[in-house]
Amino acid sequence: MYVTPARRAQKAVEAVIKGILIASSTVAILTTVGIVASLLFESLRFFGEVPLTDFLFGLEWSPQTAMRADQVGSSGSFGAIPLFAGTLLISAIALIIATPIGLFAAIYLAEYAHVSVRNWVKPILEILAGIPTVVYGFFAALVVAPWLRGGGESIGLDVSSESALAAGLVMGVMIIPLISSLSDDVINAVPQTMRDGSFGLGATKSETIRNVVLPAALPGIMGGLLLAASRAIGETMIVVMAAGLASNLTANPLQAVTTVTVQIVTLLTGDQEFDSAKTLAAFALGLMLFFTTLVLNVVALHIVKKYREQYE
Amino acid sequence: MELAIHTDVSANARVNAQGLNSKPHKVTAEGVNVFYGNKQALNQVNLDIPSNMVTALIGPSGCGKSTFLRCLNRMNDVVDGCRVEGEICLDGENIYARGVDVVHLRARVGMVFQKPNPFPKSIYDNVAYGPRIHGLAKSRTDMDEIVMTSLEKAGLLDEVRDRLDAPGTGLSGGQQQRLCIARAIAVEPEVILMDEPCSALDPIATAKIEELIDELKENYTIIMVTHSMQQAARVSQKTAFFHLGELVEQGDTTDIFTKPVDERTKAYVTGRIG
Repeated sequence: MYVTPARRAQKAVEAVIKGILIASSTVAILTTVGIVASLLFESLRFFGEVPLTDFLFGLEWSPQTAMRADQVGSSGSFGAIPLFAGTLLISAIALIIATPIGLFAAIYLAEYAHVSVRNWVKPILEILAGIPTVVYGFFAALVVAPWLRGGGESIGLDVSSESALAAGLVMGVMIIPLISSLSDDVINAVPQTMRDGSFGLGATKSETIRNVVLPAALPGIMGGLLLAASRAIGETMIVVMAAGLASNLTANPLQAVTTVTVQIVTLLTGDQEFDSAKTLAAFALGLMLFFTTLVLNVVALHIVKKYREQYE
Repeated sequence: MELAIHTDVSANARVNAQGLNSKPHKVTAEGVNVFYGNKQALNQVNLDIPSNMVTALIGPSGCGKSTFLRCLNRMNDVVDGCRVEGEICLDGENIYARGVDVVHLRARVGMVFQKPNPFPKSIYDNVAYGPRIHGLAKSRTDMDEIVMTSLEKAGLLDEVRDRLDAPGTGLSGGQQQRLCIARAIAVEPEVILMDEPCSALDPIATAKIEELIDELKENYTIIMVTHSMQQAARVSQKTAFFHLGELVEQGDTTDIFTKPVDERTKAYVTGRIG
């Protein structure tokens, strides 16, 4: 058989396919670059009107700017500290709830559960991950928050109707499947020979898990936790519905706090002038949020790498 | 501590009989059947293993020699769907009797695996792992002593003396395997099971391990699975040949290799099946 000129069509097809693939990845990259650039430029405009230090270190957030000269009660202060404090408070509550539950669930599923149990429980956990966040949001606002308020009153605590605790609890439930499924994968990836080595020395199951399996899986688990943390920080619907709108610098989980994402939503919904400091503040907040999660991811990678060097 | 709550009459009778023998049998297996689900992996295996000798288990892949080895410290317990029948006795006590503490059994019967599997810990902590679990050391000094002696016995001390805090996983393959042997010795077992301990190692590391096995038999009863007949011939005194789940032939290593009785053994040791 000899090569006919018609066979060149194959080359053309290869080139077209390659072109489509390159174009697809270019779209993804350009979108990212575009979003970051837009965030950056709009934030620069914002910082032209409000000093960077006021934004970063200001303790008061009240973004109402005067539309008419005679308007009152519009101080227009853009201190982001209360928002980040609120975000961190709620995320911390969520992680405190979700880390032990998610991790223990993962250990049970990976090490103890019989195959038949595992085949039931894993899909159910995955359903939990598939619930839309807006459902979690009204669950938090309509069920958990009143319940906490009622419970608090009966033991003499003053719980506000929208509290960091309610939002954090529900957000914790939301990220349990994330943590458990990532940890489960990592624990399963620990080689069986490692467990055999420990069993062979007469270690019990729990000794083996504590002393061998978990240390070996730690880098992956840390990675999963940090991923869950950045998910919690960026979460919007639950906090919009259950955390509150007024900025409040407090560490008390029973009070209402607001978060970065909630403020971005309230700044940009409704009729807005697009070039006022109020709307531009959303870009600055978005940039801060982006920067925070970026740093978190870099730190996560660093920790993972450090552990990996130690263990491999 | 008594290993078994229940020892039957025949086991006691065997202990008495052993008293008359010059070489007592450390481990005795009688009528051992092993099933994985419905598949039978071992069929009516009877094998007596003398103490302070190296016994090699040889045979083609899938013949059940590793399965048999893993019965001796009940490592098959962790395998789903695995069922063991028959009687395996350690010093005359049935290790499959009700009430036997598997943790204690595995402290007496240590194991070294095919692939070196040091824990993701320091060299020191790898060796200290077993003694810590079993509470063998009263103080830090005791533990240092145990770790040093075990590394010394495993022939690794000189190579790692100045880096005991370095991760065990950073050693070479042969060093890792000797670390695993040190880790097993640290619990002061009576029997050491080795499942193809050299199959992942280069010839020089293999030679070192073989030399070590030869020294260790002074103090321990060693049972090793090997795919290499040269290795079985070099290090073992007794050999048992398995084929398709059956124990075909057992005896002195020299006899198995020079004048095998069974046709299948002859075919295997001369390289015609395998």
